Amino acid sequence: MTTETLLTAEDYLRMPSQGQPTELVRGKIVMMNRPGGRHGKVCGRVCTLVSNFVDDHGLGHVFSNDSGVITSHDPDTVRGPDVCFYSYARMPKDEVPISFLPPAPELVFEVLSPDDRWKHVLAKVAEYLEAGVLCVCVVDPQRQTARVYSPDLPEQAVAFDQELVFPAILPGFALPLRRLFE
Amino acid sequence: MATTETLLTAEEYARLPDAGRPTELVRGKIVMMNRPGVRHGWICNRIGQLLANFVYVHRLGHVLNNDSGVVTQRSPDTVRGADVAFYSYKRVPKGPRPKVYAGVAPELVFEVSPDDRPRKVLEKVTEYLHVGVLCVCVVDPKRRIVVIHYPDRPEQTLAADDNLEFPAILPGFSCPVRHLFELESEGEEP
Repeated sequence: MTTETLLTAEDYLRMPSQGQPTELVRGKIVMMNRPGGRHGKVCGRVCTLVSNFVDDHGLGHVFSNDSGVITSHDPDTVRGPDVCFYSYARMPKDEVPISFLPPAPELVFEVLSPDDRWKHVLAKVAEYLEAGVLCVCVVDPQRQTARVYSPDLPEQAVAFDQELVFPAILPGFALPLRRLFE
Repeated sequence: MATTETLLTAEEYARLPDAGRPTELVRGKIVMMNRPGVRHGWICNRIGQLLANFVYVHRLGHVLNNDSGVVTQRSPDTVRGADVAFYSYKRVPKGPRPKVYAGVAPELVFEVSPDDRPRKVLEKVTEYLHVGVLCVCVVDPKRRIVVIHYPDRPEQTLAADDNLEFPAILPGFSCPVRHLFELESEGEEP
């Protein structure tokens, strides 16, 4: 038998900054590279365009900048999605926590960086779906495409000239994918 | 506060008495699973048959059915049962086959997805890809499709009339996806 000591989300929250981005993965700290310019630009576009719709319709909260989301407990995992959305049903209007976000947002956007290994991306997608996220949208700035993952449907590819839609989460929202790359 | 827990290794798990129902070891903990139904077993065997017919004629390696264990993570250990797996002779040489788990990952894994829990399969898929599996095929009997996952590029979805091919792993192998769900001669599910 093996025994090991693992950090909880609370331990991780209280730790001093590591000077570079990290995530807590099943109780262990994982260092990540700082993403580049294009990544940040596309994240910004996602955040703006989704927030515009969510605010106009008073639907919920949009979080950016890798706000920590707890995706599993015992051992704890804290991921930093690029952009995520919680409806007011999952997170009431006046209850935004100062600490990490609870599981789980309805919608998560991950924007790929050139050095992302696909298997790592897929692992995060699986984890979000397992945590109760209804839809994970992986945006690929290099190929100018996106892929949408839901718990109960096959993966769906979205081409440059198609629209991103999330009818069960953001009814009426239709975002031409190309607008993320403008 | 930090937590401490005691976890089983793959080797300890292998030595445990039979639990009386299917299990997997997931990060050191035993997870019970439901026994799959008839369609699942039929398709798993069918895939094994189609692969084995090709693999043994061309003397390429080993084809395994029946949830043979694959160690997908260490410290803590995870042991998954692959529905069907292919190991080339490069990874598991000819001769006496390992009695417990192979020290390497298979090149090719098939998972037949249960209708109700596709997301569970995705977690397994990523574990396989991390441990060195080159190609994981998720077979969806309900939709009659196969989704092929790779470590380094997005997945590819094949419809019933597409051909299943693995040029880098099984050069020359080609099989219409619908043959995973039916016999060639029948054109419908037996």
